[in-house]
Amino acid sequence: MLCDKYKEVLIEAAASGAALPGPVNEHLSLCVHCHGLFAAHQSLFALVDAGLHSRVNVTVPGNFDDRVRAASQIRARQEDRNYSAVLACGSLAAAAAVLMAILLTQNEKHGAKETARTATVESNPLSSPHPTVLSSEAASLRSRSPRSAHSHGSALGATQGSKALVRRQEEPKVLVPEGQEELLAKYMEGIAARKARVAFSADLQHEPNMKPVEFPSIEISELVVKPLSDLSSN
Amino acid sequence: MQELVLIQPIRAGEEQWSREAAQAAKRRDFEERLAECGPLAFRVARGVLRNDADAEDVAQEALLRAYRLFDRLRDGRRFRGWLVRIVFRLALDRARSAKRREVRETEWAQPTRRPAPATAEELAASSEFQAHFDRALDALPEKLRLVLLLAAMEGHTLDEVAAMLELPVGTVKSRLFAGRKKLAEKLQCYVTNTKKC
Repeated sequence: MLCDKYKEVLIEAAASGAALPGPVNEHLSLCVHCHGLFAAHQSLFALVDAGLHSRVNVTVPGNFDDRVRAASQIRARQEDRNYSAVLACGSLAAAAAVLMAILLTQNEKHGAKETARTATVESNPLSSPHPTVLSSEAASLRSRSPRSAHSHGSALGATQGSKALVRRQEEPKVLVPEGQEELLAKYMEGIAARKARVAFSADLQHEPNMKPVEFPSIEISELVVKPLSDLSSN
Repeated sequence: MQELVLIQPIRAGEEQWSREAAQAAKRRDFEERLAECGPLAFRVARGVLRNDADAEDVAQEALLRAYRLFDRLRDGRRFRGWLVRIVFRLALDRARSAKRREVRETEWAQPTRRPAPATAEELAASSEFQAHFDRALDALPEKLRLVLLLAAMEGHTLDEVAAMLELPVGTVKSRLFAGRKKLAEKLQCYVTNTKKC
């Protein structure tokens, strides 16, 4: 056991390797036990340092840097792939959302069109949908034509007229080359007339070319009112 | 609409180009730091794990983690200390899991007895002393252990260790002394023959 007075100083000196102060050195030269234990502690710290040194100062494997570099490249590629996958998923989701929105909008439009068409057909079964001619000249032609006016509901009642207006707003618009508006108007009138004729004949179960029925003149005698007693006497 | 169609690919291309340029710069920077700090990472891991293969795995993982999180590090000068802490933490985790595995395995194994070494050199080199030393070092508190390992590395002065760990030099000195003293106390039996180890 070290002498208690010098114990800490001797251990610190053994640990740091610093020179001992004069009085401690004197004690060490006098006390054999302390001298021996100081030497033992010096070798103990030397052992500790050697153990630490050998544990830490090892040669790094030669290809360590290359392996880390390769691993980092693989990791970077994986991250890139993940980034691309996330981007692809995102764009796919966006595309699907846009597609859904378009389909929904189209369905809504289609449904509204169908509703309007059904309403129009129910109100005027003889009329057929006409494409709207965008040329102003054609529009004026149509308004001048009496049959066209008839087919577009001018002859219908107020309610039918309003329904026809709704229908006309949803009619498909046709672009007509210049100078052919009149031809198109006539063509559409022809189609309308033919459809009306067919519908009328189907309704009557007769041939479309019917001659007007002629009735002979009928004479109706005047009505004679007699009391019941006269009848019983007869 | 036409403007969008024309501008969008250019923007996307610019973004892609700037991303690639940033990645290339990051990679260059990382490679420079890898050459500088790779050995340090390996040695710290080796100091904790005492096994080259495990140390290499841990050092590689730490370097990759540092590379991935490199953007978060505001001050590049702190890279060494940051990396050392990552490596030390990962190595401790690995050592703990290895210890659990070792305990399971040694329950079934028979201990081997070897003759005691005669000289100090033999003692230092003996597997028994090494095993005792390793146990003593592993039992030290983490903050003492890290200072001991870093200070024992060749070419590291106490000032450098202090800068790396962002500690005052006095704290490093006191931790170093405390660590060595604790190790010496645990290994005293090999020198004094007063107690059994």
